[in-house]
Amino acid sequence: MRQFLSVIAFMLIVIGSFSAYSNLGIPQIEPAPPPTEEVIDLGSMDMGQFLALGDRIFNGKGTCTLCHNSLGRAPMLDQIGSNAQARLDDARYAGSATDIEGYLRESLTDPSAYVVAGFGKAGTNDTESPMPGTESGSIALSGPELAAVLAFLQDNGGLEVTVEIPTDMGDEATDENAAEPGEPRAPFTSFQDLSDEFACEACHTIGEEAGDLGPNLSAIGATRDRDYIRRALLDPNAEIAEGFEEGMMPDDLGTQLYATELELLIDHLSQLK
Amino acid sequence: MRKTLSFGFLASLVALVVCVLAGTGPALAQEAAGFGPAPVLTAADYPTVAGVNGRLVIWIVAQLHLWFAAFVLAVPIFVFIIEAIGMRTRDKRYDDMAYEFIKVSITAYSITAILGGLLLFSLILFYPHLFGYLSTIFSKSMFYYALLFFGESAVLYLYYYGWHWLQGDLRKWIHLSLGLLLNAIGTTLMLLANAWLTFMMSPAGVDPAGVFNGNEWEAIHNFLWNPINIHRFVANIAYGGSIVGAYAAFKFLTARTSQEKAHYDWMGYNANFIAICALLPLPFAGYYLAAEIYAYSQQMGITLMGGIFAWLFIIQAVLIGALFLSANYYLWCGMGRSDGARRYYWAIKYIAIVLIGAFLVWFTPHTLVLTNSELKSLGGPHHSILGPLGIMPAKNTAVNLMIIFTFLSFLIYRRSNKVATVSWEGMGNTLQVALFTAGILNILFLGIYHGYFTNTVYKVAASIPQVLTTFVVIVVSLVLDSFIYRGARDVGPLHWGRIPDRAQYALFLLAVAFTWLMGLMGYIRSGIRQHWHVVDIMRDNSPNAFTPTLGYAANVVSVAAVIFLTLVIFVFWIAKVSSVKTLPAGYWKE
Amino acid sequence: MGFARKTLFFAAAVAACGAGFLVLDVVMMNMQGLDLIFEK
Repeated sequence: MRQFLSVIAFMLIVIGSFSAYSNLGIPQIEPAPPPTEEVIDLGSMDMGQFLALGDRIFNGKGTCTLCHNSLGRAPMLDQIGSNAQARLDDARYAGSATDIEGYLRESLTDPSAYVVAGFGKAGTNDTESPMPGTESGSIALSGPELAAVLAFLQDNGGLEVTVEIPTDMGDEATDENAAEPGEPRAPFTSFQDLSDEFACEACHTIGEEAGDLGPNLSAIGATRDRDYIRRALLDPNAEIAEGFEEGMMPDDLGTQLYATELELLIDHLSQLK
Repeated sequence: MRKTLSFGFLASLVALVVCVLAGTGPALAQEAAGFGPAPVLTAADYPTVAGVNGRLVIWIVAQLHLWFAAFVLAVPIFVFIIEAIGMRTRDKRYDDMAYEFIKVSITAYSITAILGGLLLFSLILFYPHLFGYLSTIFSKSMFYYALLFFGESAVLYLYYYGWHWLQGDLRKWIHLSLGLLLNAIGTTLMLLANAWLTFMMSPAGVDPAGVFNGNEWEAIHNFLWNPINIHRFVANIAYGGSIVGAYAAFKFLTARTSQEKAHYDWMGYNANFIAICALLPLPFAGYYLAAEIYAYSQQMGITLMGGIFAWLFIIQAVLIGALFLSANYYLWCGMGRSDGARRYYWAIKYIAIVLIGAFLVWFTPHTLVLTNSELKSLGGPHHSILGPLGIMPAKNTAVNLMIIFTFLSFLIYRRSNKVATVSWEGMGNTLQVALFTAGILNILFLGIYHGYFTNTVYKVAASIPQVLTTFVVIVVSLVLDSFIYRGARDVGPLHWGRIPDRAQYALFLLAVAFTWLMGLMGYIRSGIRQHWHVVDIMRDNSPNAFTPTLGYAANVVSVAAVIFLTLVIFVFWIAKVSSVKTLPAGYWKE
Repeated sequence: MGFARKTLFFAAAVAACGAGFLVLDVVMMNMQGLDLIFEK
């Protein structure tokens, strides 16, 4: 009986220590809850908000950045601007798109229509893409969501945004409460709101947030003056910081920002030292 | 004993009836009307029964069922092998041991059936729509599954109860054939059940809306079916060995006579040997499965290895390290059975150092989800010195070295009681050392050069010659060893039973770590489906669709493991009680 | 065998086994369409 009890005790201790290690030895991450359908109010949306929606889907529900990131699992989508036309012209291209918007749409709905060399499923000689279609399956974007991602991709890749904001939700769109189309949005008054809206921190490290696609701006005021910052915001490709790609940063901030917002950004950034 | 057996029959009968009523009935009706799309559910479609959490019930019951099933499927496999060894060597000890194994598994068999029935009822009660959908697709295989269960029971009873009846030349052959048949049916049962669960991970034979095309074989033969089949088959053997090892260890600790001690020491050694033989190829079966998951869905693969579940593999590394260390420890303690082992004691500490070093490399995390402050204090996503140890080539190298050195422990154990008599012993030994040296150098070359100086394609490709190097070292040195020790003289008789009690605890650790590890890996296999019942086809819209934290999952596994071990102790106790006779004086009239 | 001869024999054996493993490496990498030594 003594043997029996000591064996039991030994087993309980072993199991207990496995459990304790799993609870205390590693960080407890609360996984994101299952994605839910976002209620989109298209009627009240201007292009900036539409692009921001595309951005949110791109980084969230669409799970695009699982693979389209700097680890090289899939082509980088910020280079679409310089690549898309070349893809269309490629002799291997067998899809049915005739323009860049069509090509991008096709890439989202039927990823195997054209596979960038080196990114195909192993053993298929780049004829089959590992990417899932985004209209169905686990991603299942709705029509407007897909359009928002397309617009975001064009904008993000330095292309002209040709996608129009769909007016038809596919089902009952609640237009009564929507603001008048074309009505200007209220200006933002804090840096954080602005940064959130334009997703600066998706690419730049500013204080706590860490993006690594653009230069770290946490102490930009120490090395750059207000004029430099102003020019970098309005014409980002005029001078590219060493080690970073040209054409990554949207160059239309000048048309999207209110003057007060631009000054607010410059004020804030120049004070980061 | 007979009572628990009829329980087994009863359970399979109930399972059959329920299958026919709940599964095949509607399925046949469906077939006439054509198949519909997968049901779209709301939270209201998940009944609450008696206020319990349905997911938790299914989780624990399915896990318990799987543990017992793994055990009762594995035992006949090595009982068959041991019986055959006994027939060949005409050493009755093997036959007795095989009989004792099957006796242990027979109560476990009825518990497996009962748990299977419980799982079925729980599924119907808590997830009626999911079960309904699966049963329209797998109507035929579920029906045959139930029928096969009868066959399995019948053959098992013949095999067990006929053991002493079917002895002697021809009869023994008939008995062995029954063992083969038992394994064939048991494996088929497992393959069918695997098809149902892999369909939920990698559905086939259905269109994107979930409409079944009527070809059940296509649904069974889905993308992940065979990778899971291989992984489970090998793992079951290792698992069965470890449980029987724990049984022998307990019997050893409580044995009263030295004869008993010798018997159970021998039994524990053999069970452990089986477990380790099956454990060695297991990491590779695991890599194969993970690679196939990647190939099936990159999204699922990244969720598995790079997302929230990445931490789980750190826990896994700790457990596998514990498995390897305790297996080696047991071998080292076992060297005490021989008087000649003293010659090799010096080597043990070096093997231990390598094993622990390899374990630490394996344990070093790769890229982890870090908070910004953690990122800052680390100076990047990887540690400057330890970072390179986190990537796969380093881990592949570590695993291969661990396997080679575990094999070395075994080789030393084999040699410990022998003195070679061939004239070229010195040269043979040198050759063997050279083989190990060159093999280890090659593994290091492949791991370091391709791991750090080439691109990803090379990193992955280099793991194949690495594994083959390990394999070649093991096979060639076994062959070489058998030649060197041909006609070797024994140092003295092996003293079975001369092993410290603490070595038995290594066997307990092995069994518990195996059990817990299976529970954890079962969680991740199921968990990577995330909020889907059937990936991309049928969404889980229950309130329990979320992924729990790893700590919570670990606690569920621990609770289930405790329940399992309690049941296993009951099984062992029952096996013991059946041979106890009480003589009540004056109770029966004369 | 003297120490020097023993060492020589061991070195030769390691070299021989190493050559064997190298052949294995080359064949295995070739079967996957790669050379053993990576060139940029």
